[in-house]
Amino acid sequence: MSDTPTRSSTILLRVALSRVQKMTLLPQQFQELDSFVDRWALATEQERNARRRASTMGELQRFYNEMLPRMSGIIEYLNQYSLDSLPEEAQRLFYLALSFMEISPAVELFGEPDESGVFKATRFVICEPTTV
Amino acid sequence: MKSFSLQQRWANKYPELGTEPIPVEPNISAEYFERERERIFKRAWLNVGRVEDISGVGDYVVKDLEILRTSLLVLRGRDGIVRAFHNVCKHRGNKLAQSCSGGARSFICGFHGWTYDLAGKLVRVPDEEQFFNFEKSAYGLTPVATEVWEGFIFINLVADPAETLQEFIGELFDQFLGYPFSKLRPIVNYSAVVGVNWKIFMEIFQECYHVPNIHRSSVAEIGTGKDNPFGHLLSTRLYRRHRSASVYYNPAHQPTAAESLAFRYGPTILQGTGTDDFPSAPPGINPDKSSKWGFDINVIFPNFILDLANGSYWTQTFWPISVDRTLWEVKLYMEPPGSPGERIGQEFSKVLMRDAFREDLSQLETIQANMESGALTHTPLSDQEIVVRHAYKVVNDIVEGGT
Repeated sequence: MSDTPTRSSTILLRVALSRVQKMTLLPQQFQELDSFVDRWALATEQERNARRRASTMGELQRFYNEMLPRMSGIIEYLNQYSLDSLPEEAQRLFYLALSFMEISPAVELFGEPDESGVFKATRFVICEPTTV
Repeated sequence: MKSFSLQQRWANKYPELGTEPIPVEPNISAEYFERERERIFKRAWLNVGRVEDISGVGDYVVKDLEILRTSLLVLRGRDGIVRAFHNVCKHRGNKLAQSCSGGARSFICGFHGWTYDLAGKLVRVPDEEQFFNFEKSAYGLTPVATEVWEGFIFINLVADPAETLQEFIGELFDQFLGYPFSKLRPIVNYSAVVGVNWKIFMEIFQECYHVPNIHRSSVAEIGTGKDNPFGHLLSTRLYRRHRSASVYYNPAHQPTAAESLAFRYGPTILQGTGTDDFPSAPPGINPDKSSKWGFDINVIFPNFILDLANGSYWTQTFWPISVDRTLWEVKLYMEPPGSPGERIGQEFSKVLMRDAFREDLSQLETIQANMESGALTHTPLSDQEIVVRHAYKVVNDIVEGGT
């Protein structure tokens, strides 16, 4: 079976598009973290905390393990920019680093995504100033 | 440096407080709560924020305070002065400013369009000729006494308060001179409505006896140590109505990987403490100059806690809603981050503090329910809980004495 010309060009276009998207997801030297962008490049503490609570310990540990050895390099890279002028890929990387801090107590202290028996997260209101 | 002691020491220093168990009743009696409302909250200076919250002309915040049974409008006028008013239109009593904060040149009532300027003056009444013997100047917003201490805005519901804010702050007034309040900014606000009496709520943030247990998974490791297994306070300072305490820091604290990373880019709430790191500390902070100092707790009567550390501070305000319900507002202040790395480091402090706070809050509603169960009429307090004893006595003297 062979593809019709239209179908194959669609596939080619998709491949090309995914390459373009992939190239712009994170700065080039951090592309091995691309697979975490979907889940962890989150702009607010509420979102990051909600994602942490909705994750399994295995997911958190895997993210932590991949991020920890790179954190110094990530911060060094980000520090060449000012906070309010991060390019899009650097912004995603910045959010990943904030997510690393969000999950660190779960991995380093509690051994569970959210500590059991504490005051309900959904009743604990988080309000961040609009300037990050 | 004074030697660190595990002996009982505070009851001897403050013998007037006694050592007897204290009653449960003030935490569960609706009648007692009403007296707290009238004799304490309607007479005391109460913190409603900081001057930076309303830095520009016309910036305002609205505080709906059920304990005062009113809504307050706190704003900065054209002359730069911070003022507060009852947020109530003088025509038919509608709530004037409806959003919780913002910037305005004037305030227009949503009911009939009466308009007030930033000084609270009534400046426009639609179809004014239809009113009788009417003078706009008689219908300005009702002002509320407002004063500022160290950048903190306080209001007092009494039209002509018996004490100035300086007299009210009293012994603490100049103890924090030089602390960089104006350089730090809130990096997060947390709040929760919890089914607990406001005094029980505040007490947990004044004693450290609970630290080894409630915080066993998080900050117990830094709040206790080989020479201080129960996290005894370094010192307590009990004043006429306020009180302060210095919290121990474990010098053998082992930072986690995330904490070490954060500390490389700025102070964390766990590191950067001790006297060597904070030579500019004002005299009222860590007065014993202990090298094992974590942070200071300052309880400003009746409902405001100012926790001061090196490089960060956090405020907690406890707004009673009813005898068994309280709104708690927290703000953590740090230096505005100068780089992405500093901001990432601050996230560590923010997140850990939040998670530890959720531990603090975990038992409160159960405690309130059990206090109401009749199972106990009094509660014994250890020497380490002398701050709780003092807190009880300060409130009770006013509620029962009626001064």
